[in-house]
Amino acid sequence: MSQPAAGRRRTAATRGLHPLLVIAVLVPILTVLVAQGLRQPQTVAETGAPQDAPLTRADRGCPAAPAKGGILVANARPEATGEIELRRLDQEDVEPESVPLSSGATADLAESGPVLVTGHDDLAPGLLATRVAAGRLAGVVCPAPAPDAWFTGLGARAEHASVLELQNPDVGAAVVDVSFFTRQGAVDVPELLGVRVPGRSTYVVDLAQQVPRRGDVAVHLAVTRGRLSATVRDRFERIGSDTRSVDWLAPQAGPATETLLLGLPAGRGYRTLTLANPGEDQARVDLKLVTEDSTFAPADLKQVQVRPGSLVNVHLDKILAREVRKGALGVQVTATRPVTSTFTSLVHDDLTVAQAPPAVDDTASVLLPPGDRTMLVAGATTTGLVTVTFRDADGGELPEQKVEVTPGRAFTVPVPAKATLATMTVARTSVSAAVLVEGDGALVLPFGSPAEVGLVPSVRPADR
Amino acid sequence: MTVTALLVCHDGARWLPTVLAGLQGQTRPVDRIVAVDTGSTDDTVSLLTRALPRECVLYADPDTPFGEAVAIGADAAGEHEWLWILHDDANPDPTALQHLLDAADEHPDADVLGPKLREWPSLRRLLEVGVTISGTGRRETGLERGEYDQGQHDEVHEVLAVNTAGMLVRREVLERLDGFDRNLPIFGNDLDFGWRAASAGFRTLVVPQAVVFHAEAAHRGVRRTELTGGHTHFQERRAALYTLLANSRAVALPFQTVRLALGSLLRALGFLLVRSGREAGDEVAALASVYIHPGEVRRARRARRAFGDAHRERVRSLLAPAWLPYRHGLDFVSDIAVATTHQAQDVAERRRAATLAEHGTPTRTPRSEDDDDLIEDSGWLVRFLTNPRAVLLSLFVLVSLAGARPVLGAVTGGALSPAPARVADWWRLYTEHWHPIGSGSDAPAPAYLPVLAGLGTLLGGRPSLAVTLVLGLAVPLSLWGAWRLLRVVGRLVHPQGVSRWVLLAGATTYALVPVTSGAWGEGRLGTVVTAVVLPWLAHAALGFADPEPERRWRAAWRTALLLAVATAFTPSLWWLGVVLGLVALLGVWRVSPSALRDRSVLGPPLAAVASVPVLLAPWVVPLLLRGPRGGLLLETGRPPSATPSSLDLLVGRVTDLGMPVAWGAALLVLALLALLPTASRVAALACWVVALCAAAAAVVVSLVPLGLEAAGAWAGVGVFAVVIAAAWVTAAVVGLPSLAGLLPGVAGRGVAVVLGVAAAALPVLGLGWYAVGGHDDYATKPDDGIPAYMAQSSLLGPAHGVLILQGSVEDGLTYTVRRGDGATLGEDEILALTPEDRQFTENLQALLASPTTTLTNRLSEQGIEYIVLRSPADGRIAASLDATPGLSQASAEDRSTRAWQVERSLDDAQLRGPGSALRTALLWLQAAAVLVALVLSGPTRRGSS
Repeated sequence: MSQPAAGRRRTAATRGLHPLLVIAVLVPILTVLVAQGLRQPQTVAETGAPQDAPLTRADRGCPAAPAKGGILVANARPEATGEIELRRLDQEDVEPESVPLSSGATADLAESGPVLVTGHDDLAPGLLATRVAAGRLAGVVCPAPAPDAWFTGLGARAEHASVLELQNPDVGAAVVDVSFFTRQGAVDVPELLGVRVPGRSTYVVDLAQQVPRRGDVAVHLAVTRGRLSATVRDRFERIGSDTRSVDWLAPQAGPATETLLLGLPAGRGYRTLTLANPGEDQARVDLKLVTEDSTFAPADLKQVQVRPGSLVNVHLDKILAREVRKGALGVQVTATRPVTSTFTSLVHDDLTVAQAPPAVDDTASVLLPPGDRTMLVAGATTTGLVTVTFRDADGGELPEQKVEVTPGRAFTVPVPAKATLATMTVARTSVSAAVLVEGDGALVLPFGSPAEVGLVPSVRPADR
Repeated sequence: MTVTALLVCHDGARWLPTVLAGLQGQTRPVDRIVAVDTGSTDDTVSLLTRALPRECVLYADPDTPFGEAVAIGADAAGEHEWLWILHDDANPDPTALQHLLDAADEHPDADVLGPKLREWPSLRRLLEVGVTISGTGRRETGLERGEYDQGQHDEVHEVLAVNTAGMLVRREVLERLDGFDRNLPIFGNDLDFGWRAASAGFRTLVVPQAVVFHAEAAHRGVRRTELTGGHTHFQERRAALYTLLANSRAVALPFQTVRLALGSLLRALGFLLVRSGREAGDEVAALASVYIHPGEVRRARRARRAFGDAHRERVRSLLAPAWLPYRHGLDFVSDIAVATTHQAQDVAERRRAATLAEHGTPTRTPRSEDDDDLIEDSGWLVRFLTNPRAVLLSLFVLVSLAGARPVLGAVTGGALSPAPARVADWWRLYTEHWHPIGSGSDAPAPAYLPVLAGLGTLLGGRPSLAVTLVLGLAVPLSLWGAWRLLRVVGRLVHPQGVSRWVLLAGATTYALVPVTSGAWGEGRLGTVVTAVVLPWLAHAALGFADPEPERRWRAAWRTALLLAVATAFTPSLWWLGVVLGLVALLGVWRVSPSALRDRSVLGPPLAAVASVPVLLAPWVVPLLLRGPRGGLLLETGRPPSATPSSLDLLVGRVTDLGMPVAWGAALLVLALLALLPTASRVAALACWVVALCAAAAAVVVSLVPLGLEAAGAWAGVGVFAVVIAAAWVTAAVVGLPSLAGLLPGVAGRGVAVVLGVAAAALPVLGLGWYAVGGHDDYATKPDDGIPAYMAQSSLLGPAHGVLILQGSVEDGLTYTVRRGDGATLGEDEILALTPEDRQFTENLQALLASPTTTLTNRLSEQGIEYIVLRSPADGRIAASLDATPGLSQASAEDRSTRAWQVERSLDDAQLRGPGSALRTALLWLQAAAVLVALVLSGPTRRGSS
């Protein structure tokens, strides 16, 4: 660069801004501004919603009856027809029996042993099966195999003895871990970890024999291999007399903070609510009663504390004897931590177990054993309409009932005498419903929604 | 004792008068002088006939070999006891013969005696004090090159051979050995003669007191004869090979034959690397010349057999030790390395010298007052202990090595997949067209694989050691590079260079950038390597400013190679290279438009950028031809890629594992302050322009959709944060030293103190943060949650794949296929570039919806042996797989994980893919391109040894 040029530039600089200075100011500003344009990519999280797949097979495991009994089988979809498969699990190497099921009809099968009911193809979606005991009213909805099952309020002693019945619908063996929650806390029973149930068989665990305890227990089953359906046969016995009563517990889905237990038989007797807290934090549980008018907490119903990993029996004999007379239809359980609960009544020496029916927002069905039946609907989240259709044993349609439901109240729906199958359709809300059967004793059966389609997880390659 | 001097001449008129004078001026006169002229065309003959009696001058043909000439002379020598052989370019010191005969007297068993040869005309430098031969045929003198004679080798001792220039030999011995081998026309006959003499039990002594000055005219190519032609090197190598093969023991001959052939090829390659093509050609030609005439060697061996094997041990002790060739090899490599690393470092000086030469102002080359050198090592201990900067640098390196402790051992974690078990896996992955990983893939292997594989091979085939070394030495290597770069930049900007203290602060700060950016902690190997290479790359690119066109071109190839390495590890960097190249050319055009017309100005930067795709052809071409082209910007390493924010980018942070933002923000502030002093503003501004270009490139790259987002793989942006940090450091180093001078007196000193504290605090804080540790994702054991027996089984072959499922019915199920030792370093990019195998996904989906034997059979066809449902396993999915025909339950390590085995026998039919001629061609192209670039970027070999 020659001297005169530099001189000219210096003169220019004294007059105005030196161009280099201007650039020195502009470049940093530009750099910062440009950097603001940087895009940070967001992880493309695919929702991964499961896809529906046609259900081609449905299994229901029905426990053995204590003496004689029967099994009600139907399909919630009235158009479904075909043959169901009946496999007796207490007999080895026996070919399954096929039973025709006509459209909308309910089959009443005189089977007292453990039975696997299987619906194929058209009969798989909406398959319903219920074990009913002969004699005093007792029964249970035969469950589908599930990887997890919870049971609360079981006994492992002479006067209250529970028997866990596990059914393996597949050819291969299934393995299950059974864990216990007692009043003293969670208990390990090594011999009940990794219980192997051979293929197509039933396996019975008599708690009173294998894990005798004085207090009630709650049980969690975790299936680690294969598939199992589980039920519990519960027996109360007054020692020194021949008074004994049997009923079943169906598996519960899992602990929840809000539970509604429907079906309180009237009369004198013992009424016990059992709460189990499998979590690691103490749960505070508030109880309310649900009537046709309101949901309220009687003054003498105190808050219950459930320690982590433990179980509590809440005796409601007096309060419920009074309130059921006044119209109480259910107990609402609200807990600060997820708990499981079962309501057990021993009224007129008859054992009745009430468990929380699932919340339903579309359709649900129940098979109706003979007796004096009352349908109970409660737990509506908003005002909505519940339409109930009934069918008789041959599939004939009976007059339907419509109920406008509102939150905070329970509703009763009369059930026609000939009805064997009730199906409710819920519109604009979600409700829980059960049927209280009274006669020689009492029985509560929940409305459930049998799977109509198979859920298949959406599959994609991992991000790694 | 009687002595005949035998002078062999050929066109030696330049030296002959002196030689004859020397011969005639001996303190112990020779008894007779015989000269043999081999067809000289200059004044040699007339000089000889003038000095010697007519009968003492003999004539031979121009193509007479040296041995033949000696024989002719010996015949005419008369019956004298000793023959003193001299060349026409070998001038004996007046006392030479005296000393030789004294020694012969003292050692009556000596049969051959030789003088100490000193260089002519320097007269002081030692050429030879006896000579021997190494196992590779190298002439070993035991002297340093250019060593001065200070009497350090003045002991009479036995040697294998002495040079024929000044050799005093008993006539009887010469005759017994049948003179010199006629097959060795000029070179190497002394070694062969000495070897034969030793084998026959004769003794050769070197007498250093006797001095002969030797011009080595033939060796240096000053004199050409018909026998040497233009290829001195060819003759020397041919003689060496012949001598070794003719004299080696019969037992060692096969080994020697193979070794010499391979060694010669290796030497030829070495000559090619330093662009000495002529020597390379001579090397190969010499090898061919000896090997295609085995009869000559056989005849020579037969002739030598007469002497027997009695003196084997003595001969062996006189030969060069076996390790010597390796030592020379090491020296050669280190010479090349030093020359390569040093060749650009004085671009500042050369520019200044060029300017001075143009303007003619005589000044000394400016040197700063404390001119120590990081890699100089003379008097190192004293220099080290008295130099606080050297002590601090060493401390810095030591502490940084301690900070690197998490990467010891087989390391994995974050974006770093574990290294494969064998380095051959890397080579295979790189060379194969179809990879049996996942569901099979033809995506090109990442371009950085050959670099890692090469390093792993050098380390004895240990890939994990290569990874550990790269990560562990990232800070010291960056320090070295940054020091070199900043020193040259400092000298370019300031005539005196910047203070070593400023260099220390700047280099240590930059050295920590790979770590403080978080790239190191998250296992972002690509970004770390580029951070290490970056200062070397910038340093090479400074060579574009060299005043010499040849050096500019060499800088181009060096830059190309380094840019190729950096691009291989961080593909998006190439695009910044393109942008910066254009900006630089724009700058040149603005300052001097005419310069762009010079091909050596425009060419080098363009060649550097344009040759990168060729150097990386096996990676670039498949991506361009078959896609996905997004791979050309893909961040290397295990997904998900790093996603720095705008602020991170400006403060040189790549991930959240980096140093807190304040550290980088302080650096940014220093870079801003560096713009204040007018003296260095242009340089600081240049750094800012680099940063601006990097920021712009980062933004553009981040906006490009790669189409690989589903795999969590995005364009690599992190490397730009490192470039920006480097720009800040460089700006601070060039700008801040002048800042203190802006304000006079106390204020100026105050500013200097504040800046000094800030500049020192950055590396100290960074180093402390690094040394304390805990800012990394490293683990030594990869855990993919599959049982050990499955991992072992999967090593049996690609057909033993493990399908790993994770998720639930509600959240969806994700799958990976594990083959071999899992997804190892280098496979991540292939998996990211491989589109989803829809058929495999659909098959799996169908299997979960309605399991059939056909579907499970298809799994085995796709090379799946086991299925693992990771903990916590969804019971419904597990139950569904339990009920699937063709799957049997397998054991898992914990109860919440579930596993199945596919019952049908395995088949990897679908994993076998086609080969590709294109890939092979591209690999050869790459090898050739790298070799050419290496040769072109290498230092020039000046002169010959």
